[in-house]
Amino acid sequence: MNTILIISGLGILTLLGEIFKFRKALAPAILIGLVIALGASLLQWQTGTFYYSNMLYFDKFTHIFCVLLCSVGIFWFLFFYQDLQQDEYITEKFSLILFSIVGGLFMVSFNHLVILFLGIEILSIPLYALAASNREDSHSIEAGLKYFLMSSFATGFLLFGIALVYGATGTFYLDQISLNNPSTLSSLLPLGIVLMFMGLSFKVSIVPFHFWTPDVYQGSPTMITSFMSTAVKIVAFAAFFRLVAGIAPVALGGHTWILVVCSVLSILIGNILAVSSVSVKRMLAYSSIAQAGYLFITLFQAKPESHAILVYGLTAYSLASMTLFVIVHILEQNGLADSIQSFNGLGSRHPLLAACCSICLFSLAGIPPVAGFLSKYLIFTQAITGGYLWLVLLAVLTSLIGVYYYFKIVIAMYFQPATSDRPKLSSIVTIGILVLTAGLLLFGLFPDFILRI
Amino acid sequence: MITATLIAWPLVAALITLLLSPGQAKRFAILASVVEFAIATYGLIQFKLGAISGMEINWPWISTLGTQLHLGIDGISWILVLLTTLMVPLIIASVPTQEITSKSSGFYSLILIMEMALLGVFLAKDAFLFYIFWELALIPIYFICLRWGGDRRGPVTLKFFIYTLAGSLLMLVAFIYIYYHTPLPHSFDIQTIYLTARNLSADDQSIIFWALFFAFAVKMPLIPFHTWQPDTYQTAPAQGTMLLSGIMLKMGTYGVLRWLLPLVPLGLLQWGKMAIILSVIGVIYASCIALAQKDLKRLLAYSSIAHVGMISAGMFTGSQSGIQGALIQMFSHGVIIVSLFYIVDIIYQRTRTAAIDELGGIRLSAPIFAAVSLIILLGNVALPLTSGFVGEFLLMSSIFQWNPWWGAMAGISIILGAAYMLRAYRKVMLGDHAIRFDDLSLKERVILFSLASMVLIIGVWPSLVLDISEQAVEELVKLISSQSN
Repeated sequence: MNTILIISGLGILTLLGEIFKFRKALAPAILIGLVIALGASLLQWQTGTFYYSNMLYFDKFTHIFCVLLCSVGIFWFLFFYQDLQQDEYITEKFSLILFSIVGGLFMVSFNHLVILFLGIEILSIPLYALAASNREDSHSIEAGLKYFLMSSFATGFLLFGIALVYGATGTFYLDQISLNNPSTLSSLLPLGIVLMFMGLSFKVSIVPFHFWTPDVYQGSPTMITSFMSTAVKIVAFAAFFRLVAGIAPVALGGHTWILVVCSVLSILIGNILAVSSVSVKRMLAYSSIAQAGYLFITLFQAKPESHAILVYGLTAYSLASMTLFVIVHILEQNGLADSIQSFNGLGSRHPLLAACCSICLFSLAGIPPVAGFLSKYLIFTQAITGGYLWLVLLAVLTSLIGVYYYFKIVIAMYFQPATSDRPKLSSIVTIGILVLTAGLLLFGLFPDFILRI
Repeated sequence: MITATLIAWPLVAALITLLLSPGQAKRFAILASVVEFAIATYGLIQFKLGAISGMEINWPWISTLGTQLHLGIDGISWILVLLTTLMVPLIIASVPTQEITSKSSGFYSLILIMEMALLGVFLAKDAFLFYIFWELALIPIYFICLRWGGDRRGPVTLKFFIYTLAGSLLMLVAFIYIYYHTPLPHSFDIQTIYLTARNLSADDQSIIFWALFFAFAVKMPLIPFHTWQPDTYQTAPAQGTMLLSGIMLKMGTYGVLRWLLPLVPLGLLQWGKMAIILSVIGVIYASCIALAQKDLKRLLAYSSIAHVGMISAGMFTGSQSGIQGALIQMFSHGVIIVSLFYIVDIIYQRTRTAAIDELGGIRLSAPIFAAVSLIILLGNVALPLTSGFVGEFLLMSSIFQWNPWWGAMAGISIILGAAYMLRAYRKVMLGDHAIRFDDLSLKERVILFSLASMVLIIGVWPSLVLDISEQAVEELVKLISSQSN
């Protein structure tokens, strides 16, 4: 709870930065604030407490995701604050990101369905503005508008779903829905739940609610894309997991097949469409659809205590995704276009950056001993024990397609001759990239640390 | 502790190598790999003296997955550890002096990481750990080929990577399947996996047999899973080809011995003959294709497929002579194929071509080179008194005992082998028109002479190798036959 308060306070403080002229001090203040917020979460680690007439519930699950989200925030500011230092709208951008994090925190701690809705809105509205924040670029504006329109539809569905669930069960509280006797519930409940699933599927970009992802990821400024592909994914999956785990006893019985179909479609369509993308951001967008499809498998058997695999998978994905978007951003800062050709000869231009980039791509492709492999391994073994052997075989085959397109970048880095100079990057960014990549390797070799959580 | 040191040292050395300049890196990498060989020799002496207890380690690793850092070594592993530690210093030393500037320290670092992963494969006593090392070995060689290979290396190495990855994913699925049949708490430990797999139904064992067979057959490679190999051998840099053909190929054959034959006796009973027949057909097919090759590297690639097919056929008979023959042939083939690829690289460095038709008359200007090459080439043809003969003989006899007709078929391959190797030798080394060709330098002599002497020593005194593995092979054969009848 303190985490939410601290970060909200930080957001308001940031807004004042323009008036009281302490723009230069903003980034350090925010970083310190985020670290304190992270610490506040760690301090309350084990406690399960309700807040605000039981509308928010903080247990270990919530705190894990608070820590993840704060870490994403810390790294985001570390990577991008220097580039924003000269920006005219620095205070707005910083505070929008912070408020978006607050929305995410609401989503991972909701116990009342309306809080879930509010959380999604608080998370998304800043992102509409941020996606369109590069006003000279028509793609950015298109991305913002598209994100806004599609997202509004999705939240509409979500709200409608919540209303139906309320109509069927007479309660907004997640912990009370499951207290109902399944046989006496109205038939409105399945419909309501499916509508809620649609709203959330949009946020995690699961097929068939994925159409916005490539355009928005590609059109938005890269620093915003990196936030969307990590923070938004993390909280949307956490909220989804919480919802499924909460209502599974009463309502999920015969409807798991809906999740299975969506997962299969995402894995197939994400991987296949990624092959022909020339833009790296677009390719990563399709890859994120495919990765969401893999992570979606953890939801089939969601139980409150089985979240370790989801946490591990999201950590592995976010580490790799954040690093790759930062690298794309660095290349763009050095005047290169967002295409695979920009990676040409990076192996000789900047061996360290190329090595980190390769490790992240290996992780996404699921090759041992990097964390991405173990994440897939855990998901697949869970699916096998759940009786989805066919799904695992399909997922294994499609992950070979993944190797093909991820390795296009590796090949460009080590096979093509260099066409431009060594990219310049500051020491803070270098250290940040090294830390994230080291995290991928360490979590890959010693996963017990996360799995025992 | 020896096992842990064997794996840890190349990794440490690889990290140090990264910090050095290319010239220093090469010298340091040679030194490090020689030290590694010394460690292995020391361990082998201890092993021969009977001190086996100190070599096994079993440390906790990922307890939530039931996998442990379990390393151990027996006679079968020793042969491959010896081969690896012996070949790597020579492979690193074989980098020509004029290429030192183009090969950065990363090159040597990758070779050392490769050595670590290969040793890990040969020492792992835990299915999950085995899989991790198996995949880890792929990554350095991929980068070696991609960064320093020839034309078209992008698509060729990608095909190689995806092909072998597909095979090993099937292996992983098979291991997971067995894992979930182990008693609670589930475990990947080799003994548990053996016990569990052997008690599965015949149908399950058949499926596991084919999943594992595919994984290992791609790596070896056996026909019809070989299509990645000639292209990769041709485009890889010389050292990469040596690593691939000399050592990495043995991962597949070792995998069969350690992780296939003892696991599924019923599967072997049902499908073993299919595997042998497939291997023998592959041997003849590859030999015939080798006859028509115009490029030395491709010729050696197909010759390698033929020899590995023979090893595979011998192993799947499950007999003492078949497996012993396979082991000594793995060692001998490793030495010979590394030497042959080195010879081709020497020719390529001097003439910038490896096309058979463009070469000729090398003997006139480089008699020593031609003579050493002949010894090694005769080893590949399996002439008596060379190391190739011992292995081929044991393998042939095991196939012959299994079925005389298929034994005779396999025998044809030796004649074909002599035909394509001697044809190539005649066209490249003999002939009248002398081309300008400098004879061997001191460094090349040291490397080639030591390789050739290994070929001869093992040919004359095969028990040097056979003794190491004899006891372990006896146990393995007992294990294979104990349930299959």
